[in-house]
Amino acid sequence: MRNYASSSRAFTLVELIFSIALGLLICYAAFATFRLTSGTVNRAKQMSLENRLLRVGILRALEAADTWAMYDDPWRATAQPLRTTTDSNPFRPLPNTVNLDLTSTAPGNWWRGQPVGNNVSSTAYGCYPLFSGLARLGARSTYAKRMQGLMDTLGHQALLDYAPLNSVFMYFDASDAIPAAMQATNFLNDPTQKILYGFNDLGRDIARGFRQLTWARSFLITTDKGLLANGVNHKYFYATYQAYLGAANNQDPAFDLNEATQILVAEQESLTTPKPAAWPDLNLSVFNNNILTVTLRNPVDGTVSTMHFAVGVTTTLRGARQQRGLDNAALATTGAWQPQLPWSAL
Amino acid sequence: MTACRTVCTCSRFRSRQAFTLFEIAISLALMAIGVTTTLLLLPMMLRAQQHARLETIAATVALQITSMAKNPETAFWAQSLEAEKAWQNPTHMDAFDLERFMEGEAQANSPLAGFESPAKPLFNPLPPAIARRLDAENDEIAQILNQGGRLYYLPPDISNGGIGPGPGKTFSVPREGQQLVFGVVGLAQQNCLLNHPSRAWPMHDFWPSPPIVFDAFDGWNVEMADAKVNWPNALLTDAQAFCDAVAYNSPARNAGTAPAALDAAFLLARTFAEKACAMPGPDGQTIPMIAVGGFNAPVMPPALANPEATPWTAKDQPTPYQVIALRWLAFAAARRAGAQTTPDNYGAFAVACHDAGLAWQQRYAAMDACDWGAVRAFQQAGAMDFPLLQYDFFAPALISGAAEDAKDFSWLVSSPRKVNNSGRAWGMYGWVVNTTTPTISTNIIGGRDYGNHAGIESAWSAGPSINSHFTLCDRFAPAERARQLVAWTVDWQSYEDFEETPCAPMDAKQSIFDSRGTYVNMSWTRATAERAIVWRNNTAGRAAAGTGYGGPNYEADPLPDFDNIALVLGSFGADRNGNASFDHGPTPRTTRMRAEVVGRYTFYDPRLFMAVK
Repeated sequence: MRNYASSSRAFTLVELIFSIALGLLICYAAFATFRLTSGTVNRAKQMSLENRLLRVGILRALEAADTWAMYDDPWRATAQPLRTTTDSNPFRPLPNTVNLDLTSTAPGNWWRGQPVGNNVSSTAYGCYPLFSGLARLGARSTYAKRMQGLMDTLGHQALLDYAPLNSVFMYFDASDAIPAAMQATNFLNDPTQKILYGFNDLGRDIARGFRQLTWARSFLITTDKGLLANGVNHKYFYATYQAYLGAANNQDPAFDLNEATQILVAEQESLTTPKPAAWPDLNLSVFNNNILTVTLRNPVDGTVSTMHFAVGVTTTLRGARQQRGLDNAALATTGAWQPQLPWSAL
Repeated sequence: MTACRTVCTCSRFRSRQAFTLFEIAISLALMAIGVTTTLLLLPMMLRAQQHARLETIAATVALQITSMAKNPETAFWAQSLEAEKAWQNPTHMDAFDLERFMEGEAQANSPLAGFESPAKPLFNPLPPAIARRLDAENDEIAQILNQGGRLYYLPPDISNGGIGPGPGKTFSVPREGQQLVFGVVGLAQQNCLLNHPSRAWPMHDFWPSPPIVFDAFDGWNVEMADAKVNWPNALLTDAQAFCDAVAYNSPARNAGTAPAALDAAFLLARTFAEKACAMPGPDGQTIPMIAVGGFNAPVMPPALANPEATPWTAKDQPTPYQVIALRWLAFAAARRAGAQTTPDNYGAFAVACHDAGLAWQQRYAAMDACDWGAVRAFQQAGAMDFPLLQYDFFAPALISGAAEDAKDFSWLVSSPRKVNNSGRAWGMYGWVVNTTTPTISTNIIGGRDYGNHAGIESAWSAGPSINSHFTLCDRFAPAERARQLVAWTVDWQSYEDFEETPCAPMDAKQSIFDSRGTYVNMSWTRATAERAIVWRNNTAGRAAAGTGYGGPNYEADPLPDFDNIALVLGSFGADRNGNASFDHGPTPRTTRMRAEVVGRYTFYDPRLFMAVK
């Protein structure tokens, strides 16, 4: 009986304290584990979501580079600012006078001028308008009509895009003169001049090829209305312009490529509008259709993750126009997406 | 009964007692194991997501690098390297393998700034001292390094210039991308040569144009130098007479542009052209002439037969001296016609010479890339002009003689067939010997200065024939061209010396000097691929990169200061995490790290120089 009575007594204080401590420990461990697990799972879910969005953004950027849809959307007439015919624009229809048969062995596709002294006022090196130009007939005018048509209708970048790599970017106009756009000048701040050659770093009348026109410089395309009005399609941008001429001679900072990258507006698109509040913001920007930027911003902690890359082989402007049937007279040139065509039809 | 009751009582009592301390301890231990296991799983979840992020970054990097490598530098002259003799040529710096491109030495990686711009590395080579500490499955990293390859890391984002992010730059990735290192698995291809090591062919000039004159002294010109190597003697006097008449600073050229002043050169050009067109080539080829405007103009070339039915022969191709004579004639005729105030017989003659001459030159260039006797027309440059050459690795090397300062060697050059009219270098090793210029060539035989002609000819593979080991035109399976870009993740920036270790050594192939220290290339001067972030001294704190060379002025002034060779080579290390602070990681340099594969990307490794436009 003594044993029984003894076994039925209450917990001692030590036992109680020990039990409570153990209980608290277990509760704390459970709570901490739950909290940590919950936080980690949430973080993993967030990262998973970010990763998926990043992949979506990259795929969308590549698709944009392939289709030029951020510059010209065949599905939306309101998103086709580069078809305006009041100025040279990359998605305008080409006139029928532009022959796009670029066969290298066709004599009509050969430049027939000199590296220097082509200006009709100076014939020290010969009279080359005799051989080709807008004033000549037949194949002798093919090269000039192509140069003129591409540059005046589609702009400078389109001209470089369409012309074969070994082209000489010069022609004789209807008065047998070299167009002002193809004579170098240091007065770059007048977009009405539509200068192709840029400042006079080589000589005023030295004919230029693709390499010289793109040496440390670039021709850009944007849909920004203000910049279009300022003749961006007729400007070139020089990578080291300010260092080359000095700040005092930098007449128009918009010609400096590094500054232009800040001035020019990249084509932008939000890929997460609308979205749940906790989702990251995913934005895509395409600069000159070859610099692609995918930006992911976490609204919770404010962190920004940027993937900024360029793709060397994307659809050319000519390819984008062919996607829309803009260069194929056999197709309705409505500018809508064209069905997949055999190569022979392009 | 008493005993039985006692037992029963004890049993009942025992069934109601609480857990023992031992039981609780066991329970807690079990729970601790469970909790710990759960906690251990959590980092794995995060690592899996981080790995997924790195896979995305690595795949994008691979896409960028492999696609942009398809558009290497298109300016041939910027890459051509001519030495007097083959063994003096450190070979061509812009080889088009992906590895070279990854070091930023290819110049096509700036789509904004056109095809030629100061090289902006997409990758930096990881210093070998660090790369050697990294282990990978199947010793893949060690194998790459043992085969002469390198590992590469993504350059840091430098917001104050250099390579950093921003719409004007080409590339940046999230910070975690710096954990990635890349290597190329699979043996490199034997690429075609960008040009013969002693002659940068093809050369191009406008058509028409006067004799190609590179300098004023002594009326010297390249084409007459070539002529003395390759042309019939009977033509040299007439050709030289025209050259003298239009040479820079010659009295005839400075006589003005009045018709009478131009008639002398016009007559000399017609005389030479008529003789050249009438003089049969080695295969009997001539160019008939007809009267146009009172002068003899060449006829248009006859149509060629279908080559599948009737193969073209050497007789269908005009000789170099005929093509050159027509180019000079067309130039002189255009110049003379320009002196007339209205179109007349001079104009008609000029048009006839122009049309026919251009067509003959087009035929000449298109029929044989292995005839180097006449300059190609600039406005018709095309892939067919490019001669396919490769080194012959299966023939004994060409080794310099005792007279050379150092023992250099070169592989011999293999060609699909013999190159005719190889001439001489068009750079300084083609210069003639005279009293006013440094003597480069002393190869004078029988009064003719052959320049480095002997050097060009001695480099051709001789055995058993020039094309015995020529493989560039062989049929191949796509898999033979496939290599893999492999991305690993490893925290190499935790090494204590990750910013202190000198930059990876520069390959001698990147040199623009020949083995005698002569500047033989016109392209950008080269320095370590990490040039934008190199430390400027070896002080304990290192001066931050950012002033002058290795900083924001890099793009504006890409030429390195060769007086400070330590900067050119990156001897003091580099700001590899891009924070403008000289950092040390916690991991001792004696510790090895395990690199984990993130992704593998198979790509096509071409053997030929090409660009996609």
